[in-house]
Amino acid sequence: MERKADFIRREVQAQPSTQRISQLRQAYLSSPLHIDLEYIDLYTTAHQASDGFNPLERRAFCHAHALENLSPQIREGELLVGAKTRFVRGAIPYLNYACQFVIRELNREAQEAQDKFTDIGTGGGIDLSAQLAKAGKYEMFGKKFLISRSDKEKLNELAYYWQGRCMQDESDRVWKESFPQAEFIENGWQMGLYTAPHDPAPEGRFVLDFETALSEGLLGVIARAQKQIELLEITDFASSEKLYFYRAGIRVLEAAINWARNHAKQAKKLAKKEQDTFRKAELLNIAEICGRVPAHAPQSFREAMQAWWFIYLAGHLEGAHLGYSPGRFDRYMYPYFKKDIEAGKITRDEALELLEALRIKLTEIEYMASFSWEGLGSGNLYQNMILGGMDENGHPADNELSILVLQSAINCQTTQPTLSIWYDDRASDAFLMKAIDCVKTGVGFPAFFNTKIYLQHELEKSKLPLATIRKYAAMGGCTEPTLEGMSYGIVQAGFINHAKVFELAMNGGKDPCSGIELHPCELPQNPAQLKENYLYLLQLSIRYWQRYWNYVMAAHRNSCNLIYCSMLVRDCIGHGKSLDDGGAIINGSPTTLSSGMVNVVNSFAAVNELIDTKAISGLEELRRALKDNWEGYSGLHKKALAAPKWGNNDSRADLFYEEFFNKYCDFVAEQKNYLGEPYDPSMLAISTHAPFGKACGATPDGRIAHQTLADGVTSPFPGTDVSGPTAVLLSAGKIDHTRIRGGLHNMKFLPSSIQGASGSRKLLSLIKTYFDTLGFQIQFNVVDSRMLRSAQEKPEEYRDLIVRVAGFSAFFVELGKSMQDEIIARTEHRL
Amino acid sequence: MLFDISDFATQDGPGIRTVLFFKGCPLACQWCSNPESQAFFPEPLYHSELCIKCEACKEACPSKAISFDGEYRIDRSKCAHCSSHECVSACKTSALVLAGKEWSVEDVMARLLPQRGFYQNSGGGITFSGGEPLAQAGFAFALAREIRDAGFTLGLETCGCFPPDLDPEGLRLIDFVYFDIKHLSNEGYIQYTSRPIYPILANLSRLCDCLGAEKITLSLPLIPGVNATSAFIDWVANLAQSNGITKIRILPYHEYGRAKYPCLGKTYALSEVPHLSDQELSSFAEALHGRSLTCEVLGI
Ligand code: SF4
Ligand code: SF4
Repeated sequence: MERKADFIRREVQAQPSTQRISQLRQAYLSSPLHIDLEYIDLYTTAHQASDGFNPLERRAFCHAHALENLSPQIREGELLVGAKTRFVRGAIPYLNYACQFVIRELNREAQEAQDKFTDIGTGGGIDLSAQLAKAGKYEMFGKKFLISRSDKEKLNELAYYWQGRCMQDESDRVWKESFPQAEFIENGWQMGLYTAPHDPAPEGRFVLDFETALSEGLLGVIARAQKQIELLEITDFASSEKLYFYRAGIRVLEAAINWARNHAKQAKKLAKKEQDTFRKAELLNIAEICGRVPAHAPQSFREAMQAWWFIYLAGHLEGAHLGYSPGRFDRYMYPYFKKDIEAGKITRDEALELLEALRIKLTEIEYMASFSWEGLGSGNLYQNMILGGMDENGHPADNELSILVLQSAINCQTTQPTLSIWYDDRASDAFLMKAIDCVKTGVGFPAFFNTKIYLQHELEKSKLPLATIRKYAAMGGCTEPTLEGMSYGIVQAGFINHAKVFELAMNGGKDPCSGIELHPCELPQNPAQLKENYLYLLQLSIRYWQRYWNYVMAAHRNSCNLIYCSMLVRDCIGHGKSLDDGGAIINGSPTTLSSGMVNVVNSFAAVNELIDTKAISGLEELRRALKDNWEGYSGLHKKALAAPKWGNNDSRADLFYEEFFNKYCDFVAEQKNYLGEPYDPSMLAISTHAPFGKACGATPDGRIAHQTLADGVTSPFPGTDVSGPTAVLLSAGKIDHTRIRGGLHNMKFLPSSIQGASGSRKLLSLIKTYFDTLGFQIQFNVVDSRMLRSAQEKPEEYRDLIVRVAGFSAFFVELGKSMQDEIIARTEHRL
Repeated sequence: MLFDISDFATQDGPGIRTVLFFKGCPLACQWCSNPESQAFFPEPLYHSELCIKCEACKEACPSKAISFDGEYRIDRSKCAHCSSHECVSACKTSALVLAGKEWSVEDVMARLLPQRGFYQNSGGGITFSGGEPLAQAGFAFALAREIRDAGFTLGLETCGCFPPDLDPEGLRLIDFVYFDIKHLSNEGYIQYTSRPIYPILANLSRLCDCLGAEKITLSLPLIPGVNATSAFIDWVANLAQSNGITKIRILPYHEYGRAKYPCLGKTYALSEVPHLSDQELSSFAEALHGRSLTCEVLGI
């Protein structure tokens, strides 16, 4: 979310700690979004020159060539240098992954079936792009990016080169012909059962092994691979593939070193021209650092920060990532920090400035995906930095650096990386209170995650030693835990729309909205048949969806395998295999995200209630009411709305959730991923609940046609959580989150309800109590009057905002306009 | 009878609390932000933003208490509070809801017990508010006993207007009290709350004797033009000291209740009230500190 001006006094607010960071942040805030072709142009040239290479070597050659020839980026006043593109806010079109959406956009053709269900943001930098496009120098590409006219021609040329060569075309060619259920998938897209193909940005959700990469230096990693080559005896296809992998890996790591050294040269050049002696010295220092890292192990915290950024960024450049994450930054960076602080080589203020600078760097990265995916992901990159947690002995792992990272986010408010906390009761008070301070700035993070739940999940799933899981438990993506530095990251096909599965179940396998017959089954006459249909269709939808995705992964392995990243994930080098060949230690992948479960749960509860109270005699009457969107059935509608609902600690609804949730997990785990490992169920919704809702007719829970579905995983449907926020948590806490990797729960507060240290402690007790159940994640929005205004404009997005004022509490959007205005005025008045 | 239950309350005592709002109050403060709390019986409460003006409620009312002149109007003198509340059942959009419901002690406890984790982890519990909880002393004490047995702390927010002969055993179940003081004079009390001050002051000393003054906080709704003066603050400080009370809580005036009045067929008697500035608030707080009293100003 873009914040233009901070005009509300929040309890906690701060400024970037130095003038330099303020300026860099300002530069970010006033930048439009650009498409940058440099990387893909270089990549394409290399691709043209490497026909006939082994696929692993070719992939490495292309990335290496591009990396080495990118123009080094050192912006005015920067301490940390290097950027993904030449623009402050730039995105690379990864045509090697998917080019069709670009070609369609260039031809201004309608995009995918899902576009009709999608909206994307229009404010902030996006608005700025649109204005500049109007002024004539640039053209708009898609809904938010700028591109110059000459670049547009270039883009056209490049896109056509990749036609038939990109990963998506390669996989489409195969699965559309050879996958027996291809029609099911395409029909599923048509009717909004699935999200659009996300070939344009399929990667991410993992964390590199920064710990090793930093401590060995990339030269150390290269030496390890070199050693393996020396030990290797080529006897068959598998052993020769190992050789190709090592050669490929060494090539990209060398390129990363060269790319860093290009920055050293550039810094020297700039230093020569620099008039200001202070900046000149800084530039010379930068040159020295970039000459040494990431090739060698960093000698100081300052060097470690620059090394980290290079290591991270070279991997970010390689793939079309979402959820590619920094992981347990406060653990693996701490030794460098501690050493320098103790030796007096750096002050806390200097460290803080570097951390703030890093926030801006991470926020600058943009990505380009098809229109419908940008809408679903809200343009977010889901880079997740997680703090706290446990060390291998089970003791709390938070430290002084954890607190400084939180402080950097308080001072330098940017959207990325999102911060998370592995919550532990025993963590230091200063750390937890600082985390709540950060929440109180209104940025919406850190989110809190229940460490114990994930430990249980991973113990059962991976069977790795507890000490390993404790130490490396991290977050790859918005709410998907992963074991840092040792996990496969390419994940899943996308989302499944539970409400659509329900509609299909209700109508004998036919979609009442599009008229498409997806998979005929009997027309249900009673709740038992309905449930049977639902579970059957859910199982099929999941099965086909995952099988389809494995075709895409096969194409991915051949064309877009991540070589650089493989070299920095354990134990690809030991195994002699890339990530796509199963080189990582953990090869299961979290998958098949789902949205709309709450509406299905409420629908089943409503059907039961309506039949039990004899409001309807059978499902036929209900089907008619739904078809007519409740029109002419207002009595029945009122009863449906009054039926038990999820989120009230009411077992009549909650038991359905538990049952369906467990079935969903079973169905997902029945399938194997491209690496032959069972898929690991995950649940989240990002922004799918709006487009998925748009695609669905009325549902028995009283929801009217096309209305947005319940958001998140365990959030109640707007207006149905009449028993208050704690009851919602009690419902959510019944779901066995140890079965999944993911899950999310949103709460919103007015600042006054948690003011002061005592308010912070109340929030911490709330978290603790929720985490004593099976609950997994919780995040808070502390709202200000800006948000209240926006709630007035878009009440559907703020349905669960509770305003607790001295005398009474209410859902904000349910208050009359006059009272809302009064609250806003009052909130502002206390400036 | 309760008119609302509010979970995750954070401003009504220590920790995370659930507030039980009792329906019915012997006072009628002109600024009352919960006008539906005043009457001792259930009343239809109207939400204009949900109303589709179908006038079904008007048709349904046996006493012809409802009329429409572009807006819903209810004539309280005609409304017989028919036991079935025909108007509420007739409304399809839930624009008319019934404020006030009889609860059994068991039902309230069934609602509270699952939340024990929140109370225990935060040092929280239950707060009785209203309305005037002690106007339903039988129900309140029965509940209080169960709450004590469950191990939760119990707070009370009272306007001080309750019978003088309440069972001291019942009162002693209460762990802390917010005692409202609304004006410094008897005339002021009568003018703004419709009741005299003396029985209230007598109840205050009775409560202090019964529970100990350390459990009592004086709670001051500060209304500009009514009582937001340094004279009032000074008088309150004297009152506190003469009773051995050391804690004061200030509730700055807000108008959130105003919009509810017409929906109940009531009129909000206060005209425009200016906002209290942070400056004024802190000068009051400082004055109290100067008299060695602790003072908390509630946020809004
Ligand atoms: S509650 Fe009052 S207004 Fe409603 S139907 Fe009964 S008498 Fe009429
Ligand atoms: S019945 Fe309900 S919706 Fe219809 S006019 Fe009365 S209050 Fe409004």
